[in-house]
Amino acid sequence: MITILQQHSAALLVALPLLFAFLTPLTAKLNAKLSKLVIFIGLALITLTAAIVSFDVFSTGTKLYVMGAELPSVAKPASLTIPVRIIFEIDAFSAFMILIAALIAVVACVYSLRFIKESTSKYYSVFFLMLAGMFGLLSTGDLFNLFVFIEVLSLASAGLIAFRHNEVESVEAAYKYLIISSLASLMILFAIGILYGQYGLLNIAALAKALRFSFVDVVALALLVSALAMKAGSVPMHFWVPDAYSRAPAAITALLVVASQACLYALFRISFTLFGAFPLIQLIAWAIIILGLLSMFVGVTMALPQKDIKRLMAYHAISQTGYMLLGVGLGLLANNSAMAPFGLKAMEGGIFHIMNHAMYKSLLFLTAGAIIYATGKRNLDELSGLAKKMPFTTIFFIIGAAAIAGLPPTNGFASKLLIYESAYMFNPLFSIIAMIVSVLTLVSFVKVFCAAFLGPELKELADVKEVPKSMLLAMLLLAFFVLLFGLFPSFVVKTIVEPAANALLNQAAYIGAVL
Amino acid sequence: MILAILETGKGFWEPITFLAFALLVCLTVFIIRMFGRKGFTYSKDKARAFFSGNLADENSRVKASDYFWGFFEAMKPYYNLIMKIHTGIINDYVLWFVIVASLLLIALTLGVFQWV
Amino acid sequence: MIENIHFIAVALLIALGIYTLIFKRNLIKIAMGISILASGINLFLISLGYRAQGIAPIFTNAAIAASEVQAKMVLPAPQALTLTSIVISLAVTALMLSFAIIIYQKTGSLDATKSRRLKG
Repeated sequence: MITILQQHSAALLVALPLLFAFLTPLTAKLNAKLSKLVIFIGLALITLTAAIVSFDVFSTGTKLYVMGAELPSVAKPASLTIPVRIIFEIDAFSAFMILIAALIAVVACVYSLRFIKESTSKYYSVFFLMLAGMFGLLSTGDLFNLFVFIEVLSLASAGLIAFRHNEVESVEAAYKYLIISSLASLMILFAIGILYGQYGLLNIAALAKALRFSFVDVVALALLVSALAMKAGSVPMHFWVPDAYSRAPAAITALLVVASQACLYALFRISFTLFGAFPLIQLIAWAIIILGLLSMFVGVTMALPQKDIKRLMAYHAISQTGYMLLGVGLGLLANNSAMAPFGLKAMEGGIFHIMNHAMYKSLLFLTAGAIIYATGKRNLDELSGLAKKMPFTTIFFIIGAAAIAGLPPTNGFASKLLIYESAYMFNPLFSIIAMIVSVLTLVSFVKVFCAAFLGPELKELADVKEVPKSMLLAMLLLAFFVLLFGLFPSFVVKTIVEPAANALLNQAAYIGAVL
Repeated sequence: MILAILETGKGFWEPITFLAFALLVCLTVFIIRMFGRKGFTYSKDKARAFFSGNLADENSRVKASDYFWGFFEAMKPYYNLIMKIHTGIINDYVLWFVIVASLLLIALTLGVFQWV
Repeated sequence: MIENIHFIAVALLIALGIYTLIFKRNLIKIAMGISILASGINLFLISLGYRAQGIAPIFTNAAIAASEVQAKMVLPAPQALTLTSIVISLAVTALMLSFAIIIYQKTGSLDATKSRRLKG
């Protein structure tokens, strides 16, 4: 059993969520209790598979899975020069992202237990579909599958954003999200078509080796980078982020954060691996850095005047995405130059920040969801004095806010320090902007804290109670990881972040695993 | 391994040492506090709340939208511009994507032809 | 010129789709814009795989000699891609239209400039 699970774990990572997406509504027709059990078994199996995959990759190196082949780990028969089958290629960076996605999926599922009261079977069905899209996007080694999984992810996300379809704002947000995502994925498909037309290849590794960087390839690159940057939510293509994040149920918002980061993963995969040998890659690096700086600044300044608590946090998500873009963009800029050691540090900071961001941002969205669940209000003007009524939520909010503002000793500080100090070596201006943005982040969370948790208790909020235990458990899990990673950052960086950064930089290894 | 120092390129970061130091500071503060006057009692008179020089109402509060008024007043030109961009109309969202994609394409095209 | 007519059609369809997305204010027309864009890209994919006088890539009982396979048989990948992409765009269109229906039911309007309760 375990050996089969281990051998086929890469395929099961996508197959299991698909299976349970189908089983959940089916069993709900028979028995509601049975359906709950099926959901739990499904989530446990998926998490186990994700853990096995990540452990395998971190201990033995890049994992290949060839669909339909006799031996799943052999990319192609010796008689062929190019791989023809669908290949999943999971390197350290993919495994890193899979770990994050699995963790947030568990947390979101635990949180949803009491948070989602009606049509649960539909909710979990689409939830599993979203996981399938996410894991597929993170593990595929094939450009066309990248498109398919992005589409699966967007469709499932749009369905879940519109989950509260009796509120017209949710449907409007889902409509906007769906238009933007399908535009982005169609542009990605167009770029894939351009590349396929020239080289007749879809495999990322084989294509990376064959690319000759003609003018048409450059068109494809521009389309891919801008479309994936839009899906990742970078300024000035970020307008869908506050709409979608603020209107989705809180647990889904946490998962949407990871979905955006999966698209960030695809952006980095394209720019580092597919176009890694492109002579003008520095132009792309500068584009990513500029997008990152813009996202940081515009995101945080737009967050300051917000009144809707989740919309405020959504703008912060944009601003934090800027840090990742800046860090990894600097790594791309310095690749194969004299600045490479600092570039590596900046990349480690950016990649570490992806993980930290997924944790503290999900934690903050879950606390915002808890406030909305308990009070039924999302406008900060109508909230006051919640600290006495919801003490645990308050503590979790403080931990999350300290982490996003980069206060020591939380995990946000460790990754931001890595970015500040390495960005300083490139241009002091980068660090200065990053620090100012951090201060403004703190300022805006002080506002949320003072307005919602401190102050006198309001009459209309007199009967507010602490949220159910399962929701607190989900938040506790994230808060625990935020503090744990804050206290032992060097251990995390050494064991999983550094392999991920090196996997991204080492284009030859990614190609060599297939060819 | 677990307690290793995190090298950050120009400096380093070690949270355990930081925590130990923070604990030391807390201890010092506590010791200094012990030298204080004994027998202090809390009463409402000693902790009256003032708001802009006037005695404040117990239940008065600053609304979230009134925070940082000075900052927004100073940044008004910037906020007028940036709020105008955030229209909330789906067509504008698409327009921004087209603008960014074409800017990137132009930059890359210029680069390619110079490079060829 | 004439042999590249399908690529011209592709460019026209994509331009039309993007024009619709930017300038049309009706939510259903915007959904149509996405569909037109998808058709343009599907046409692009399928015309990449076109080969004059090609035959289907079925090796069993093939009517041609093994030496001719390289020259005559059509690669099946673009067709497979197009089929997948058509299925996906069908799902996207259905979802977009159902959202538009709900928005119309709740607000009585399909105007994108009015459908901006989320902004700022």
